[in-house]
Amino acid sequence: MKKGYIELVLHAHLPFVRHPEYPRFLEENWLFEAITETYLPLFRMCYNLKRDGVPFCITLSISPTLTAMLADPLLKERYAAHLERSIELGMKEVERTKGDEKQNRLAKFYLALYEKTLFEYNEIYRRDLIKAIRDLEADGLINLITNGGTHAFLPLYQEYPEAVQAQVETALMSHVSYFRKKPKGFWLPECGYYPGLEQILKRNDLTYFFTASHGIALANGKAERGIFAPVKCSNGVHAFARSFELSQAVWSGEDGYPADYVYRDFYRDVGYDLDMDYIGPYVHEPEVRAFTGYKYWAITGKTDKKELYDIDAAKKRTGEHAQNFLYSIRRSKSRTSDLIDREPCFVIPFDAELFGHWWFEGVDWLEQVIRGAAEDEELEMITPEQYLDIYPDNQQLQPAVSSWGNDGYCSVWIDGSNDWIYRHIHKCIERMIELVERFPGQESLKKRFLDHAAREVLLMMASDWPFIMSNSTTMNYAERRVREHIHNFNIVYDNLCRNTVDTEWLTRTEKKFSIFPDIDYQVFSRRKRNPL
Amino acid sequence: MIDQRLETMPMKRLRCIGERLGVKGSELNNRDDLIHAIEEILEERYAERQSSNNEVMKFKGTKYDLIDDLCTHQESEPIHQLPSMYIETSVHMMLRDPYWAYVYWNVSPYQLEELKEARSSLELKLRVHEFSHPRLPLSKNRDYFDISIREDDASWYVNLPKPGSWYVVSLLAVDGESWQETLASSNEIYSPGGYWLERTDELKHDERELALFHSAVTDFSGHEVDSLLVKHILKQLEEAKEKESHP
Repeated sequence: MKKGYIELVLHAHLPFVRHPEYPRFLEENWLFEAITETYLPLFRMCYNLKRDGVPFCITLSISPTLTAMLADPLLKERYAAHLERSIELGMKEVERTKGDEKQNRLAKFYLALYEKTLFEYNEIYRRDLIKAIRDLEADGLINLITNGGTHAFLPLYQEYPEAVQAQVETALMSHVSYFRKKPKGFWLPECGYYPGLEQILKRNDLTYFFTASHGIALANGKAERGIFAPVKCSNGVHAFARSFELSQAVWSGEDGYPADYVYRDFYRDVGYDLDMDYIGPYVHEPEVRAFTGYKYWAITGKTDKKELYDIDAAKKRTGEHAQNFLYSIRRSKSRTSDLIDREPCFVIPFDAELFGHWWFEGVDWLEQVIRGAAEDEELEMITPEQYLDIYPDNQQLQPAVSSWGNDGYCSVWIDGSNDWIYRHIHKCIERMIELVERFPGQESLKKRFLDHAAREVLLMMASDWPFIMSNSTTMNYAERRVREHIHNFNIVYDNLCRNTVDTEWLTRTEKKFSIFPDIDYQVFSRRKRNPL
Repeated sequence: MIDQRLETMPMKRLRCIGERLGVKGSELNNRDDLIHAIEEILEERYAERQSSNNEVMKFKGTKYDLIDDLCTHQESEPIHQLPSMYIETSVHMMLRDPYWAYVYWNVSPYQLEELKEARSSLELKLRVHEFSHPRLPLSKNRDYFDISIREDDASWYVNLPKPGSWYVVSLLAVDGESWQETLASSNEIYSPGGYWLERTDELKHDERELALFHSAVTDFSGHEVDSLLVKHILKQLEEAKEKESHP
């Protein structure tokens, strides 16, 4: 019997947000919520499966910005303090809800969850989640790959191969320094591919990447095996296409599993529902309401009258949805078996933060899918490397420019709200390349300045900023960040052109944007673009 | 969520938000009217954003959802001003999707001044060159069209008429019909096409290829992947099917 291979790919990413100049900073909660609701539950899931002898391996793409934040001492301290505040709120919630048995049960559930999380973070992992990830890889439970240094949407930097090279090289440098092993695979931020990108990947010894399904369906020739096998670019780098039909079961807002009415509602949170006198210390100063994680309501339907969240009913539903998903894979497999000449592989990639953070029950669902797949003789979980070992010969084809954004191309990251940034970012890239040529092989203070200039350019390129701009209606954090990085880069550029050095400014700014401590500004060298 | 926050805000702050969102006139003076106007604007904008986002992007939005658009916690921070222009003459082209590119340019004020002094009626234009192959000289274009621009324009979205072609934009200074000078030319971009775009006839008659194509770009319920070209191909297939069933 032909098997169906499942490649489960989780992409974990958050932009670099760290503000030592404030005692607490709202956007740092992006990280704290993701650790509590996604990353630690995923680690728990992996160890549960290992304990029960379930064979599996997930491909995990972890961004360098996220890695840097997980390793950062200040953010570690702040995360622990965040959990302590959540526990304090939980105790008050248990007291406040004691007249309502069902709500009280939920308050106790969350309190126990936060206590467990704090215990694991402090005592089991000793606040070292980088080591935890390394251990998972050493145990063969995950296959680590990397992605752009600051998660730039690469098709919009096609004109500047030096900048794309800098994104790839910095990512690899960061990955090796934290995880002590060079990855073979590369997650293209937002699945953003353009023809020719594989040359930069190859130059950096990367052997495969992932594309949107239309990247292969609209390639320059017929894809002999559709999206059920990778294709090989002319330089030998492989492209694995995302299975749209399987991903859709989860992603779809209206029909997807996470939209089921029994699941927890993401938006209803006591941070918005309760009096400011009570909730004030647990939201954001000064009196800015924010999510606290205490969410008592189920999705229920398109109504404001929500029903209380029922943990048991939701758990039961995740089992049903996991079975349904496995059925969909089997169905897809049988549909494919007459079409292609080999065992198909189904590439199912997700943003990791979908699980647990937005879809609260998502990690349970994932665990049940993996258990179900392990029990099914027709299915096998596999990594891209393992697949390429089984089938090293693949069709040569040129994938098309594509992304998983709106309309399938670049329109999310370049629209009326954010297009103005590229004039400035491109100019900074040109000036950075110029600085590398004007100041080759620098040491000590000037090198520090140049290194910091490279850091600022990489940070301004993050895909998160134009995305947030395109999804907001007012001046927001993202716009401020882009402006700040451009402004900082221009300070360095002006200083170097005038041959003056403001050491105090440099030290302060390096401390604030402490990512990539070992960066070498020569990652932006023209020579790296054309090494031959 | 929004209304609860608005109701607890002092009038001064509400007015500030209202002005930022474009509320004008008497609505700015009456608290209830102002809250109502802000709510309406935010809800409308939110709905607009949501409707244009595909499923992956909708989720991504929630990843950054901490508070709503009334976020004001950084209002006291300075906003860094950026250069309004760069003193150079250049033009850049970026692919947005198979049908549109974003073009931005700079014209050095010194160069512009010199040109204005030398020419009696100077006009600036963008010339969009279309090519059948990459890296050809501008003179070998397959087709081109011009767009008149004003001196104070700095960017434009340019239509790309033919997927599967290469494009370059030139920035031209023109004086009547007798004189023109190319001030700068952009990088080259490729507007994606793909094998099946020009071969829908072949695709519709090849059962296996059609099944492979469908399994790549549609789900079990018939939802299509969010790609402009895929939608175009599927529409052509649908129309062809329609024609065959109702000749």
